[in-house]
Amino acid sequence: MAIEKMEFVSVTASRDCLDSVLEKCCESGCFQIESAVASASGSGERTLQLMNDKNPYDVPFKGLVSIATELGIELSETNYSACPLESGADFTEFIDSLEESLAEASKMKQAAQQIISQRKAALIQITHLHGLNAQFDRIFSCKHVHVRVGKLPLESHRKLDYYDQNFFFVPFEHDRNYCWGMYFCPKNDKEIVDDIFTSLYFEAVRIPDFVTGNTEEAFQRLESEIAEEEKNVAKADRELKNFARVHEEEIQRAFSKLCHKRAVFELRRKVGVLRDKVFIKGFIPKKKHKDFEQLFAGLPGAALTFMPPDADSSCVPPTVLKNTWFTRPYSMLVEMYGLPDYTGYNPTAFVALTYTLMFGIMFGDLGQGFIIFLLGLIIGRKVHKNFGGMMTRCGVSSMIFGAIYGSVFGFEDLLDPVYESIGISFLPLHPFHNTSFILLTAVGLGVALILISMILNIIIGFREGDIEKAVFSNNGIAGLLFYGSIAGGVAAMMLFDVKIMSAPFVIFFIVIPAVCIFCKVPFAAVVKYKEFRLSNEEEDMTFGNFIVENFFEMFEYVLSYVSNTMSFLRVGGFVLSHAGMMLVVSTLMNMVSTGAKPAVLVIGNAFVMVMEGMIVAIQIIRLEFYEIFSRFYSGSGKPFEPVKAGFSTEIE
Amino acid sequence: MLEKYSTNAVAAKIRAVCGRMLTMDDFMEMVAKRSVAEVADYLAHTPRYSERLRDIDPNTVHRGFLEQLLDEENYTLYRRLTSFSGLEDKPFYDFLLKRHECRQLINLVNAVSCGLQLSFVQTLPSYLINGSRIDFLALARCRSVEELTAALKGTRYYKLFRSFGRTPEGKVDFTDAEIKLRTSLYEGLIEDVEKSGFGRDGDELLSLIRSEIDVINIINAYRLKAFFGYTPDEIRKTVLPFTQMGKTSMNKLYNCPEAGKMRNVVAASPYGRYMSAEDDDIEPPLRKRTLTTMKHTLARTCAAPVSLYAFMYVCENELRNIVRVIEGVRYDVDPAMIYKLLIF
Repeated sequence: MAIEKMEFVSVTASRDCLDSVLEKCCESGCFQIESAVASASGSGERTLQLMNDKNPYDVPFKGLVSIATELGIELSETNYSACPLESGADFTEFIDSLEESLAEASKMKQAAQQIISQRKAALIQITHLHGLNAQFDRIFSCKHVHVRVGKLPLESHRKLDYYDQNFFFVPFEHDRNYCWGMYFCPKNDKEIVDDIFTSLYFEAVRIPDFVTGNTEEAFQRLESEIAEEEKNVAKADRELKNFARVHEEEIQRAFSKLCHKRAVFELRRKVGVLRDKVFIKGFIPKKKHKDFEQLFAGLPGAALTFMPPDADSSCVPPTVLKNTWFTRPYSMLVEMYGLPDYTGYNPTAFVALTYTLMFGIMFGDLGQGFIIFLLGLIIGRKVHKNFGGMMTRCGVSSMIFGAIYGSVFGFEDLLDPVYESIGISFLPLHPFHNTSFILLTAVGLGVALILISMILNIIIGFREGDIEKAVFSNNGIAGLLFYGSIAGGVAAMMLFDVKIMSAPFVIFFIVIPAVCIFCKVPFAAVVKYKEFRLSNEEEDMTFGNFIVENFFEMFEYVLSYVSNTMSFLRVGGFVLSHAGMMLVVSTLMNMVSTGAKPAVLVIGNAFVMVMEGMIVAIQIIRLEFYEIFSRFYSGSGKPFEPVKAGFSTEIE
Repeated sequence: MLEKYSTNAVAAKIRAVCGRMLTMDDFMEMVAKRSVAEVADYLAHTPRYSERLRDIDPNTVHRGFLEQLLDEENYTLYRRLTSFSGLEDKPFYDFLLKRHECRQLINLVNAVSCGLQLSFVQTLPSYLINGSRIDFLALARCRSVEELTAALKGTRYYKLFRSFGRTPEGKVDFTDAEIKLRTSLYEGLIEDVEKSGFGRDGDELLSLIRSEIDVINIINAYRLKAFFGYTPDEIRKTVLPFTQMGKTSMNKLYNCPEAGKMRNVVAASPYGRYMSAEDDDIEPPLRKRTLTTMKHTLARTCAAPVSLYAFMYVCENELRNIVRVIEGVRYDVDPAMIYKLLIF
């Protein structure tokens, strides 16, 4: 239950066999490629540079997507072994041949669509001219009269009365903002009247030449033309459909291969080149060493060099979590928070144990736990493996604690005779009869988990050589002593009436650790660097600032110790809430007739399972992330993403 | 008692409308647009103006018409807010109509004096054609201020027009006309507030109005001193006779021998809060100060008249900002420069 060991691999090959090398990298399924050059410094023939070739498959890719869209073909991944095309030019030629065959039908469709769109635009224009009964062509051919059709803002329409120039405006209709109409004036006054209308924000509309006759006639003609062209579009569509039916398989094959080729070529952006040699570097899991080596055995132009993962300081090794069958589903939660560093600690086992335990405590019911277990099995097979796995584990835990509480589908007394018959007197542990015990146990569990988190932080701190983190921080040895002694002292006093808070105890386990936390930076600096400094970030930190800053930090730490501990009360709270909700279900069941009782039981149980199950699951995630992870875990690792030539229809 | 609740409701409604106003982010996006059409399209997709600009075609709309529509939206909003609780017939609540009337009358005197009636008609807001008791279109037919005065007989502006001073050439003194019209507007507003019995809310409202007047007076005095070298007495003749800061303080300002000193006096006064040595113009920081006061008032008050007055100022400022953006985009001004001109 640790982190998978990785190996740094450097591949050197001649430029000719670059494509084969990249193909092999993809084929391996376990190689994470890294940029061969860390920064873009230096240029020229003597420096290693990243390859920056233009992808020759980009243009055919776009072309094929566009053809497939035109033909209504839904592109999907297909076996392309029978596809003979190889280079970008081959694909371009293939696309050209397709386009040639499509040209006639495609042209016919485009021309028809263009006419339809023009006619529709004209229809919209003349929709507003319903009041005009005269012939358009006759109006516009007047010799001495200047005419303009268009729309005038309603505000401006009211202002027209003010003008006494030689014009008149004929309104046809109006909408919320504009009045549609046309104005007439003598050709001699054209400039003045046009100026007036322009200043009143009149927007002229151009009636196309193909619109003739009066409005009604124009309408009819345009509509019949649109209908005619729509027939042409339908005819072209039929032809395209037939073509698609014949060529679909060929197109799918070509596209799948093109996608693969394009994706592999895209990897070149991370490949370094120096004269006729190419350099590829990346990581593989150490256990795949032999497979990877074997894969390249048949490629004489390529040489592999395996090194430790920290061989190249410019590349951070990726993290792959190594888990057992029990903990594996919980890696989902760890990934959600962020992966650990390659050299860090894998907390999945800790999460698996605490999550399962807390779910069982908070949602203890033998019957409902069994249902969750069954649902987990189904979901794990059909929907989501990890989520289903978590459900089965939580279901079993819920069943165990359900047996302890004596709760089966909300019947709290069902297991009483069983325990009586086998002679266990302290079980079942009915929540409502043991409220204080449950709440105190929840707080105790919280204290224990916080202390374990601190111990983990101390171990990680020592492993990283971080004295401040391991010894002097609020989650280091000082914090552990401070928090542990206060928690232990209070527990001993309240539960067992033992007074351990003597003066030496307070001085050694509370005051000195508190001083250590307060002065963690200077103390750590003295231990590590043998020098005195008040802050790691600010060189000119004064004593006054130091005291103020650390006073508030200390205050926050103490507050967080209290609030984090109290936060675990919710574990006990949910035990009571579950029992309470099931009590409501059984009360409702007693209120209805005998025939309706099973329905109430089933619906009530289903409701509690869905609602409370979800709330409990979320609350535990919250406890894990905020109260536990925040003490020792940073989640700043890099995920392992092996290269692959994926299928995609998206044009970037 | 019920009236009190209805004014609370107006204030609450105003706050709700405030939530739809354009934000600084909206302006940042608008200044980065490349054409007026893009700005119009952006505005048409904001909750604030989407309804008003629903039917316009952003690609063809004239920017003058666009500005007219936005101005109309503000006025319609004001009418809706006043009619919401049946306040439109009560005194003071017609303040925006009176303000627009006053502005148009000042424009009209100018237009008639210069023979620019056509331009006046083009820019005349339609809500004044429909909503005002004054027939502006008929007034625009007048050929002289005397005709205008005669045409206004029977209105409350008749006496005022008759009192306009004359230049030595016998023409109407435009500056005097403007001051008298503005003085009459604010006199009427203050009188309405005092008569309306708003109580403590009335005091707050008066303080807002007088502060606004102070800012107008300071800006005018500074301009007259800086650009025309007016003497203190000449400045005193051009200012509006109301003040919030006090006559002594304002006189101290007017008595400054030069613009630089005047600037220092303003900077030391309560209105100089946003002034800095780098500002070339004193108008933006002063307007920003008024805007901030109005916004604070809006956030705090529950009184309808105070809330409405402050809100309409904020709306007008938003419109001024939009107009600046439209003009800036139209003339290809650098987005950073346009943004700098906006007042938030």
